[in-house]
Amino acid sequence: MFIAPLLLSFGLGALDLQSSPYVDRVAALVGDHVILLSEVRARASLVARTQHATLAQITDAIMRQVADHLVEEQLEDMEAKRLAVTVAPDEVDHAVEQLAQGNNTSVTSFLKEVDKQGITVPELKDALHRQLVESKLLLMRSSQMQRIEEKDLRARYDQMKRQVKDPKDLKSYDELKGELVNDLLQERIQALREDWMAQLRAKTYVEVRIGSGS
Amino acid sequence: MRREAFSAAFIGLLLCAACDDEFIPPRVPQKTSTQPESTPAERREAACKSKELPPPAAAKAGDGTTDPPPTGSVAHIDFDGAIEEARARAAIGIATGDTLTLQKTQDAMKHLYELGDYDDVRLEARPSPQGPLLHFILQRRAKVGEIVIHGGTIYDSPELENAFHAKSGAPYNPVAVVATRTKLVDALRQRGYADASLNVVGARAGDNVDLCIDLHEGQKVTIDAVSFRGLVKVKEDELKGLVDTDHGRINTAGGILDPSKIDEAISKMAEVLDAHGLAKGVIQTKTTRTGDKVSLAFEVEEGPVIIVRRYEVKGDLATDGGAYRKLLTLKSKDPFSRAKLLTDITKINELDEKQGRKDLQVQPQTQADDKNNTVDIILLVVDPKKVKPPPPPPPTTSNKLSH
Repeated sequence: MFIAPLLLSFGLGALDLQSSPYVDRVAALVGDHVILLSEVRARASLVARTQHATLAQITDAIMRQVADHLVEEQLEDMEAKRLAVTVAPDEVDHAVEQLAQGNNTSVTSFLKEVDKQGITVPELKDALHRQLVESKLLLMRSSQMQRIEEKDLRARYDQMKRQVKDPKDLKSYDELKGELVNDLLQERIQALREDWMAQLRAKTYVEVRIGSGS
Repeated sequence: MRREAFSAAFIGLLLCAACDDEFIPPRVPQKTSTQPESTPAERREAACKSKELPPPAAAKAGDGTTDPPPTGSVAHIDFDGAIEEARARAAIGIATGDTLTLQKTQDAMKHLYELGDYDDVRLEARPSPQGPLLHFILQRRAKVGEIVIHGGTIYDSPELENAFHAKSGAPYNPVAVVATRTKLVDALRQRGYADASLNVVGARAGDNVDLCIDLHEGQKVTIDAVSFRGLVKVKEDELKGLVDTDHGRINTAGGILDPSKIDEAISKMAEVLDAHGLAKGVIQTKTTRTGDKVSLAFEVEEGPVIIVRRYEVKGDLATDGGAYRKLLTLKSKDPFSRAKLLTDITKINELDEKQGRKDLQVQPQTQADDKNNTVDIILLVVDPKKVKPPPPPPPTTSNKLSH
């Protein structure tokens, strides 16, 4: 290491070279796009704040999960650019309004509560923006989603019936139908997303250099 | 919603739902499948037996402190591993005496990587009484060693060699390799080679990476028939003309399948169903492959015609109700149309704006009667200033925000 004599020649002899330096490095590659360790840390510290923890308490496994998530966001961003999918600020505002409404509160009170959880308004809006972009991209692929048919709902109901000790404990099919539709819809959206993400990953060079096992 | 529940929900929003195990290329150092004494032939064989592209060489470990970068005016910058230090110095955009910020260090790292000469870029920054000391560590790209190329009839070996810049001694860039593979496979599929695959794998041999490129074009798959099923109220000709065939090249008998154009056609077909009042109509495609032929079927479930029973504009109107009613394109007893409903909402918004009430919102409220296939629609004009905040949640509710 040639830095120490050089530093001495600059009169920087008081430097403590034993302490840990600040390090930044390439944490992941998504095609030509670089995700830096500092960017993973920034997102991880947000996760830490919501858990009332510090960044130093974040495990390697969580860092890896955060990096993987940033990779997926980047893949989505690239796809959104390719397909010219955008989300306007008022769409994000509307999503905030809906969240507030879902929590039976006003937007002002909701944002105050979000702030108490350690999340700033721009961070919340950024997260919602990303979610809206993803929803629009998934909607464009919805024709590839397997349709939910009556026989699927019946099959799911029969499965539930087999799982309960006494079938009489189970609500009727008609009573549960709405719930069954929702469950199946969520599963199929998730399957659609996974399939889409696998396709995006196959088209792009993806490499994650941090976290467990690194 | 309780605090814990809220946090969990927000982390879900940040990390999303799909963080299951996915395939990520393993991090180096990776087991090298060739020994230094291997012959070129053995190295080529090893490269073709590999299952994936080797990732870049191992970077220096250790991530230092989790504290932010040191602040103040930069006292010193040096580089380790730079091919041309002046070029690297120009790329970082930070000079001695500059005030250091996180954004500047991030930009510097990205600009260094964008030079394309390095597999890895690392910054170590330490505080000193004179200001931060920056040490950039750069890892040069490996070079391409042995190359094996199995070409096809559309792309022969020399074409593949050119496309991949696969010359012995050239820098090995896995990002460019994967991008080229995607581009070539997409081009083959657009020409009807639906089964085309291009396998690019490799193995590390010392400082080199040996590559194996193997193209399988497969057969050209063409459409033998296009059909429409399930049409009763809508005529086939109304839908058929909406499929872009690019002068017989795609999505028609004798042509090849182009899924993106089929998706466009389905969107247009949905508009036709909407114009017929078939609000519950669904169109799906089904393809059946037999050898090098594929049949394409548009399966339509028209569903019932939905009739508008009640259609009204109410609420905080900016002018008299008659002015609003005159604008409406959808009327009671008409077949329901989403397109017409959206047109009416836009017209109401325009009228409100003309009245100086751009702030008014139109909230459509619909009530469907599935037995009689009718729908009641109220276009509720809402003045946001008059909206009262909803009552606080009951204390026993665990799924809501706490106050």
